[in-house]
Amino acid sequence: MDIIALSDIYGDIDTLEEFVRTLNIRKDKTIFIIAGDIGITLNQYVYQKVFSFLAYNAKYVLYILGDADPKNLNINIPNVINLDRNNFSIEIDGIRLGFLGLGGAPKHSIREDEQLQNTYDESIPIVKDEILTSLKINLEKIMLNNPHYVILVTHSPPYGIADRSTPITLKETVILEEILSDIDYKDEKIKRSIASPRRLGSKAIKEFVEYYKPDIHIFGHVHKQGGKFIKEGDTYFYNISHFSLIPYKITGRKFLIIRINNEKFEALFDSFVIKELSFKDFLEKYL
Amino acid sequence: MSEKRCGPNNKVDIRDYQNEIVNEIINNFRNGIRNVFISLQQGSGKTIIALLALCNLVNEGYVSSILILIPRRILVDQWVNKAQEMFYGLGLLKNPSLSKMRIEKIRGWLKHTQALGIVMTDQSYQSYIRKNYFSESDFDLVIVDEAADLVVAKDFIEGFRMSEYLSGLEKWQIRKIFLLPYHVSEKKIRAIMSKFGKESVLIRKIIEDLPTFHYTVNDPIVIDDPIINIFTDALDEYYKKIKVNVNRILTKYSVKGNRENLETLLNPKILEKLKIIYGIDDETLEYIKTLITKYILIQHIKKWFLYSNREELSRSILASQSEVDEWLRTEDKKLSKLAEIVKDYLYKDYKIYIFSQYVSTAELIESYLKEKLNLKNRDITLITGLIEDQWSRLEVFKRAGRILVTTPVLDIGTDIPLRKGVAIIFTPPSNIERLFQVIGRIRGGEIIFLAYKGYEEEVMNNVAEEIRRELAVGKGKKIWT
Repeated sequence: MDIIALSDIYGDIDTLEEFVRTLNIRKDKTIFIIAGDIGITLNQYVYQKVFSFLAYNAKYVLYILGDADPKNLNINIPNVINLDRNNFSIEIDGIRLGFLGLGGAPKHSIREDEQLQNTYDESIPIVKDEILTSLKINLEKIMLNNPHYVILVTHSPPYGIADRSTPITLKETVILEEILSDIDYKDEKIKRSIASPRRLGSKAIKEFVEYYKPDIHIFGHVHKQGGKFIKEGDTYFYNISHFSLIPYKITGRKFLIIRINNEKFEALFDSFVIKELSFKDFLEKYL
Repeated sequence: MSEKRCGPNNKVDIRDYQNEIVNEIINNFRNGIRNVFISLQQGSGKTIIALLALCNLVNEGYVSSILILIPRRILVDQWVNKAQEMFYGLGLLKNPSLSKMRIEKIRGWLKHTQALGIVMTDQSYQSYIRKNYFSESDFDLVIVDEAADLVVAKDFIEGFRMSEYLSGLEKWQIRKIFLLPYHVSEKKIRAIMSKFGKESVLIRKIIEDLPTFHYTVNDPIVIDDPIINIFTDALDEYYKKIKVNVNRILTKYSVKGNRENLETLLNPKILEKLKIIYGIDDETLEYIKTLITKYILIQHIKKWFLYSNREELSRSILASQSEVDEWLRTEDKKLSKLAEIVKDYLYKDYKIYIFSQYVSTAELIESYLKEKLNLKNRDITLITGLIEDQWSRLEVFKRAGRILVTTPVLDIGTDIPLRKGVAIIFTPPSNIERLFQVIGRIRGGEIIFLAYKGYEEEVMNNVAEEIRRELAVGKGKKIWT
């Protein structure tokens, strides 16, 4: 069974379709996981189109919405499942998997002037409690099927794991300023306008994974830490951002492939590029 | 004779030249000078001079409230403790050891306690002044220590600029003392002095009788990795191509400036200027921005290859390119050479200081050496800006450590005496003055540069030459600066 996980697509549907077409997929044994930020300005019709395309090419498409997606979205396709505050159990070739998820992103991880709708303020105790309760209930439900693997899919990283960055933005000018500050550009006006890097992950998610230890935790959102794999305790953490070419071309086109056989799994990060190009041509094509 | 409110403790050895400079400062202030810039070698005791002058002014009743500015947050505590250890009567409040809420009350505290003043960072100064927590009327003397940071990189419009964090200080009419290391050029200092007006004076001297420390600056150790050259050559070629394209556009629109530092073309103000004065259309401006972003990106990527930043590389799309993928699977030759050198010097019982400009490279060096040389945790100490307990880690290194791996975070206000030691420069510094400050802190020893054959070799050769030149001028005993 193959799980192909993507995040932060930001409406780059053409690249996504091209990617799926080049994959050598065994449709009945492939699951797509989309860990949020699918659109930005996409309307319901485009979301429907994206999910129809993915659903056609896989057994299941499991998704959550990110901070850049609308809060409420109705996708009526039988093999497309919204994991946000929800759960899903499957069995393929005798391997049982239990999925649970949480969409959106903590408010503190987004720049204050960013107009994004799907966020939660976990500094409010009742909000944090509600998140934890939802995750716990969904875990209890999937445990009834005695899964070989429990897979948590969230948009936000847990606090402290592959989550260090400046608050998230997609505004081009701010990203350019960040690039300038990275190269030690001595304009302090620019430096002042950029918040310092800090932990952007969710404390509620951290609390959950610390106590309930899912086997695999897949998330996106913090672009600068994309491609990081960390094993802490019993959990394998994967920051899979980002698939789109924004905000950073150099770290985009990323996906994670998890192969599960005989109750063992291996996970590998890869990029959707033509690997055989010479280094020179590669630079010309992808930078 | 009236009792002195403040002065040096008996154990502080005041040198003749220090007293002479203190007299010079006081005389300048008496003659109506408001800004005294002091530029002396590292180790000449600039801070002691400033504190002696301060005590003199306090004892004569000219000064009762002082503001001391330090460039780094982590230095504030250390600075105050050391000053109070050396001088009596220096009741100084510290910020940021006080909470944000309390800072608003400090103005009152300064007036109603016996505190002589407050020590804070340049950044705090800027923020508190903006929020009106303090104003010029709260103080009658300002000391800016480690004021090398006052002079920011050369700007293509203004020449040398003043740090934004200290802007506004030039308008204050009260007396100020600025302490700068000698290796900051006179031209730079005078450019900044001009912003402070005519009532400014520079005391810049080479103190001849300071005992010297011996440094041996070796020629760079060159590492030959032909694959690295393939990558850097391709990146260079692409870089030049972008530069030519940008210059072509600028020539087309008869733009004369902006060519020396293309990054400035991302500045919205510059782009607006190009639009209004030279009539460049929005589409072309967007194209320029795209080109410059690539131009910057290429510089980044080149550093990833040269400075063993394999972690960043392996998370980028480049890791999927077949040659890069293959290269990432081989051992890093620069790191492997470093391990060889470190092993050799450990055998000779040297203390080793490894400098990297980048945090990720420093982290990689630490983990690589630990594994390769089977080191214990206490043998190797990593200190970067991301680590909170920097001072306690430094103490551990001084007492029991054998290898210290750091970034420029330790370039100022820190003594790292190695006695029998070697400094290994793994990546060239972004700023030669910073590296010189770092080298000044280790009080002599061997200096080794590591460079890949080709482009980096040339850069490191220049750095080594520059260091040799600076050391020939600025030799001197370190006391405390």
